[in-house]
Amino acid sequence: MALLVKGLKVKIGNKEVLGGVSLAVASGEVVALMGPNGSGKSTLALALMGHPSYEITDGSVDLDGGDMMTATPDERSRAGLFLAVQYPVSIPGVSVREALLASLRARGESVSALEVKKRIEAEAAELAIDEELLKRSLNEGFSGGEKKKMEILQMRILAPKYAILDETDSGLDIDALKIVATGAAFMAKKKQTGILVITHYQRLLKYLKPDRVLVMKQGRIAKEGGLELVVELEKSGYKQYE
Amino acid sequence: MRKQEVVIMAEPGKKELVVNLDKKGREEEVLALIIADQPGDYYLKILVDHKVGNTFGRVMVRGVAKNGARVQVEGMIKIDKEANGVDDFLEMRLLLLDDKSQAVAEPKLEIEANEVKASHAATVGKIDEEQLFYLASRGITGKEAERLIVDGFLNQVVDKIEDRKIASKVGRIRL
Amino acid sequence: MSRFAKIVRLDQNTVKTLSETYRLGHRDEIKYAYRSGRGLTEKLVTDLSARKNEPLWMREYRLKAFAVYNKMPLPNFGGDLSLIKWDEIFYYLKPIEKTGKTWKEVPDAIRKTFEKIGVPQAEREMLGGAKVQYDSEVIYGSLRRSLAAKGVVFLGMDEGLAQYPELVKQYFGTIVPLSDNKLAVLNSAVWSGGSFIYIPKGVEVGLPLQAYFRINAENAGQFERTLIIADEGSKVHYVEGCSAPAYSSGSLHAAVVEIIVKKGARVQYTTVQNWYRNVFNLVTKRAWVEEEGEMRWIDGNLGSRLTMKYPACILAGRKARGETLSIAMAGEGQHQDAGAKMIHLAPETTSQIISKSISKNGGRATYRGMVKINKGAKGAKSKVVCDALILDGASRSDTYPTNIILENDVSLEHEATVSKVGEEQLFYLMSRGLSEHEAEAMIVNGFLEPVMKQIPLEYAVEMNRLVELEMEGSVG
Repeated sequence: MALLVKGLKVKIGNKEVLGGVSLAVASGEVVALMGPNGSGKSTLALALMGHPSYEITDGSVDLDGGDMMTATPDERSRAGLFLAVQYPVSIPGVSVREALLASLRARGESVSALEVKKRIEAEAAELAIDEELLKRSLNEGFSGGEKKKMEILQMRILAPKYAILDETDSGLDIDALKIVATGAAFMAKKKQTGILVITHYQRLLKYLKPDRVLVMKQGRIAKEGGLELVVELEKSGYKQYE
Repeated sequence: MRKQEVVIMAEPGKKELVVNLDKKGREEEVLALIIADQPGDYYLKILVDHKVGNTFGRVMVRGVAKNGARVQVEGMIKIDKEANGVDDFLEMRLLLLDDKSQAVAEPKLEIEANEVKASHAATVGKIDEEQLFYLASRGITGKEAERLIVDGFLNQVVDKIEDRKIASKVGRIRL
Repeated sequence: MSRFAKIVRLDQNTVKTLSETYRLGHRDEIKYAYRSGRGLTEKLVTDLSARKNEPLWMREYRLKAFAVYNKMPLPNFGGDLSLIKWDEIFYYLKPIEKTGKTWKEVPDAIRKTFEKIGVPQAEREMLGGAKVQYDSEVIYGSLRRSLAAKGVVFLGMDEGLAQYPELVKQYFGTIVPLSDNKLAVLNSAVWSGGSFIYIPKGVEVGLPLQAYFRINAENAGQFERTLIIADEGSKVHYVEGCSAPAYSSGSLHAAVVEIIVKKGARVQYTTVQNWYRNVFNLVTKRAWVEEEGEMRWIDGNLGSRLTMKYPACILAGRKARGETLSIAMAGEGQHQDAGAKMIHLAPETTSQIISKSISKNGGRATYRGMVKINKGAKGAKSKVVCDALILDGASRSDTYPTNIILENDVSLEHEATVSKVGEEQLFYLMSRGLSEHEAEAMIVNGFLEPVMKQIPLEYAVEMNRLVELEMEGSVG
């Protein structure tokens, strides 16, 4: 059981941004995707989720054997894919509870509003999210760190098969980082969620230890390895991958 | 390439400005200052008409009124049906410095395309008490405080004026 | 066309026509107790007053209004009134001889219609009283005994005039005078039905009082007149709903509502307007608010072909407060020209206007508002927020605010935004499993939320349902 990406080519407008990316994330596996700014990490994340601005010109995306190439974002979500976005957009007038209740019901789960409320409160406590934020419009006026934690809260409740975390560590202080990382690691170990963690920095990976590490360069995977790659990047930086 | 139009009203009267954005890619900014310190009617009317898409507009009006001045500002952003990809914001802020001054603010919108970002804001009132308190706590009161605040208020527009000749001309019109 | 859909999902069956989504489009075939001829004449006005056995002063008032009406021009702003066929309208239609006190007294056909609308159930479960108007007359009314015992008066306007003539004479036409506008003057000549409400000093009416207006005949004119007097320290919430059959020709609804909010009283007036798409809805609503009084208009405009309505507050006493929260949805062939008026006459008065409008399928939503702060209204504060969503390139949104400030020791803030449903927002919600349609509905709901949350749950549920039905009618 895996999220399989083969030879994925993506263009934005007239420009080719991904020139043939192949990777695999197995159930319960944590795969780190690193690379300098502009290497195409976020593009990959958004293209995998089906964002309309990104046109896939070649390759394939397969989730547990199901072809995702022509699926809409909601179909991909219902198939078990989750994306914690880099820049969570605000939805005025809609609270996180309303959004999650709708998401759960959209995939056929009959949950009561009360149940969802309790689950959210439990997760919020674990993630050290201020209860006040749960009542407000989703992401409206939230700090960067609060938005990221809210993404993780949603991931925990939706319990996806595969989760892509797009630069979730940016904007988080060390305490928040540890909480988020532990939360994600828990999902991988106990719920067998396959996690593709996209990050520019090495900090997060200290607490969310990857099984494999991939490094991107100019729209392709340039190198694959284990934890030793992270150590190497820490020492010499991204110069060779620019 | 952003074009800038500067309008300065320092005498009672009527000024009308029409900005026609009829070519894709056109960007225009209108900066208007109304310094109304004489009794009389000061009327400013601005129309920004987006006839085609991918056009950009910004209107910033700041006015101060006293001594029986009556200021009326009408600002309209119009976006035609085919004009998608438009970005426009109109702002008018009027300060009434004494109990003899009056203002009418009419920020209007007529939007027929939907792939647009259009908004406006208007405020009318007297000098903020908080600002006065702050300056008083630094030993600045009365006329001096008012002058500083009004200058600061108007400078937010003046600072954006690219043509330095016009900007310095404004500098010489002060209450 | 959706950017997210790869397969065209439309076929003849899934596209609902407008009349199909309107649940209440049926008509009742009944025998009217009395129908006036078409068109408006002085004789009709005199006859009408005579039939109602009105005091002389009211008949004279009506005739004076008729004379003024003929001389006054139509408003030169707003929607297209040239489409109204004034001579084809029935200005007075009496369905039954007398008002029923129980539902059993109401003819079957009419009662069934109201059961479909849900009035009897609501009355049993959650209302303090209910009045139901069918074409020109109030045909049923009730008031909980506990409220009647406290001195609360809730009658049809005709009954109110008959039973409380002095009170009516004192206030009738004082807030909306005969110099106001042509439609209000028309109402003053041919008014029939509407509510008369008096809340005694200090009495708080906990459950809402509801009025429901139903047009049944083709080319009908409905001209209800409502007068609400909330005495010092009292509190009341009045709700009105309306609907009409799906005829091809238009009806006219020109109502006048006058409200007096006395010192420290609080009145909320909620309207869920759901006229069929051929009704011309031209209404004058105004409240006079005295010292420390609070008036709140909640205006939901979903139906009608053209609505022109600007609920107003005259803030006459110190610290009086006025609010108008409005939602307007303009779909195919509709023009909602709505807004508010706040007039500050006294010091420390405050006002708030929140307007949320949605236009789709070629509809046009217009916000038209006025805030006037008079000299002497020191310390007055006003805030206006108008947000508009345009869902497609065929639709239109306008904002025409006028802010007249004659006093300097005040604060006025006004902001307006026009936008469409954001692609990033749609993507975000879809990436959490909602279909594009569900995501759009959720975003629209969130857009309306600041106003919706001020409406009592039952009515909010009904409004949400109507908004959803409207959204379903859109394609893509």
